[in-house]
Amino acid sequence: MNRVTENRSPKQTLLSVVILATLLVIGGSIFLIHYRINPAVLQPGSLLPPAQNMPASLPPTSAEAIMQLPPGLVPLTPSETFESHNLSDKINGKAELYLSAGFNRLISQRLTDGHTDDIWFEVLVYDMGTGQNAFSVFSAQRREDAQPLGLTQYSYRTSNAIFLVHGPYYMEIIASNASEQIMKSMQTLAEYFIRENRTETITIAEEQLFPEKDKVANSTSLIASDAFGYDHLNQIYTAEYTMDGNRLMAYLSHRGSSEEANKLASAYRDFLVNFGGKSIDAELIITDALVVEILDTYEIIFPCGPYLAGVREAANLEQATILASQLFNKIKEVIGDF
Amino acid sequence: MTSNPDMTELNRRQFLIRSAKAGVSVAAACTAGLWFYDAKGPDRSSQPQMQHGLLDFSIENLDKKMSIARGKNRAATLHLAIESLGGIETFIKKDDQVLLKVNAAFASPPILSATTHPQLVSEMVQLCYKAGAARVVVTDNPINDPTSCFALSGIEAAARGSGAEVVYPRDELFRPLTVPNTTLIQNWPVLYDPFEDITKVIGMAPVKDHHRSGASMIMKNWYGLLGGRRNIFHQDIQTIITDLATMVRPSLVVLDGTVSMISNGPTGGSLSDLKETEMMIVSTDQVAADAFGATLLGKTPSQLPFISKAEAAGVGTADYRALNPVEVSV
Repeated sequence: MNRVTENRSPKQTLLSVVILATLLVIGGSIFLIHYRINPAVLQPGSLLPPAQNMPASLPPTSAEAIMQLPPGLVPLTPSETFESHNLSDKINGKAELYLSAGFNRLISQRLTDGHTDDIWFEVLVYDMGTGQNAFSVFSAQRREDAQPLGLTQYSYRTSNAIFLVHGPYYMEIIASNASEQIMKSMQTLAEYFIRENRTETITIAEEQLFPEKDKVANSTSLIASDAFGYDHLNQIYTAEYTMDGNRLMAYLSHRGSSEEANKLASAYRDFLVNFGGKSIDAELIITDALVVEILDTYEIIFPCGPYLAGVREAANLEQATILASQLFNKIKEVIGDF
Repeated sequence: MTSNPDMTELNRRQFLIRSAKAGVSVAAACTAGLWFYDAKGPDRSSQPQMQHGLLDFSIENLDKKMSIARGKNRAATLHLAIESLGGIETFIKKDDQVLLKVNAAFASPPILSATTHPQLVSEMVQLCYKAGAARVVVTDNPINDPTSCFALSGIEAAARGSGAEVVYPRDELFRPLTVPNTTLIQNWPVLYDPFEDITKVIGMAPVKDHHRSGASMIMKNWYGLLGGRRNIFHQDIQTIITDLATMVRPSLVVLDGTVSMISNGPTGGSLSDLKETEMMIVSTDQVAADAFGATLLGKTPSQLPFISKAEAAGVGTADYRALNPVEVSV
């Protein structure tokens, strides 16, 4: 009779080695993880975030370099710097809006002008990396009663605050109360910041692709990610329209190629259908247009060359069709044949 | 036909040898496991002691109640709402030690309505003392630097001015807590020690829009009891709010809808983010209070998942009308 050891095949030997190696890796991992005790429980010293958030890796003068103050303004507190890992320590639940739009760094400081009793203001400068990213967070928070300021291409004020985009920076200056006197000081600070931090004027080329007819003024926005609840829709420009008192939205996004745009249009249609939408047939002049009825509104989705475009939240199909056609024609007019 | 090596039969001797080897291997593994096993666990003699359970300060034998007072003056609407529920003595008894969990999350001025209004804090502290409370404590673990938050929100001055003690979050006040029937609050540091000797807890929060959760009201306000790197919970915000509501069972809640932050929350910044909704909600049911608060933001309770989740967890009712809320006007 043969000895059992002589009957082992090379495959068996190899399999055994693989199994033993896997077990060793698992054992080693468990051994290492054993020493990683939950720091939240066993290191009470680290439970609270530090009061000052200036990371050591930054050049010590970087905050001051960006946040130079014009004469007459007095710091109430030192400037603070926040980065991606601790942005929520400053703005809590709103951090995701900035992080998803390419946030780099926030510098903030409280100031007073020394003239307006008991009123102070806080300036927040968000470095968003690019002008488009800065425009995204600016447009997402645009206030309805915004009064254009003309400080930059995108700037406005409300009764107690100034909001603007300057190159890659999104800037907020917020007063602790409404006062025209303090507003003058805030405006001086904004002008000084723009003068001292020279950058290229940003261009939102997509604004020209939206038809002007029925468009609500200053309604163009950029949604950086997860647009309309669909995680594949990013970098979506939107604009609001009013037709016979009904509000509806047009949107578009450059996807790199017509194939990509086509694929995303179908995927978004499927997403809507999965969430209770009904795909319907409709006679449209737009090739490859997809129509969905959802929650008593109409959506038209279509590829237009490398652009994904569409209309949503239309109260009726007729208005959706009119706006979609206008959008389609405008894109073709601007970018030419494709 | 060739013989399959796998099918080779063992003789008795080979079988016994193999069995012995397998037995030794198993015994060696068990010995190694026993050698690594630490029955005591990590030494925590100098660490805070793990806590289990709820922070339950609900009042026994008291039916769920709710009052909605309409008006612009916070002091007047607070008094009226509490009066319509039987008066402050219904909730606060002589010698009670009361903790007010305010929203002092941001170092922002009261006019921006991102934090509990100082006038409301002052009125509530005075009401508690009027009812015979022995001690009133005001606390929160803010997002920003605590000293700045309590000072600039006006809460510190209001609380101290009316005789309350302000407790800032300090490392030694946190304890790891595990809350039964929760998903996320497992062995997590919670601002626990300020609750020592406390007999009543009152949650006080403004009505706010919230970029992640849809709204920040009473239940979201318990977030300010968490320590550690709590921002990770933003990835599952609806669950953590539900868990927090499960963790804290307050004696009373005061939801301030006098001015609501209807957009750009939770920080706001512009006065145009605010709307005068002129409502003060006082309730013993935090879910019902938030359900009504949702309507002030132009939403239905069903649009805020944490409300239905909290109801499903048995925290309270989303159908605030079922409580037959008392509606009064100043």
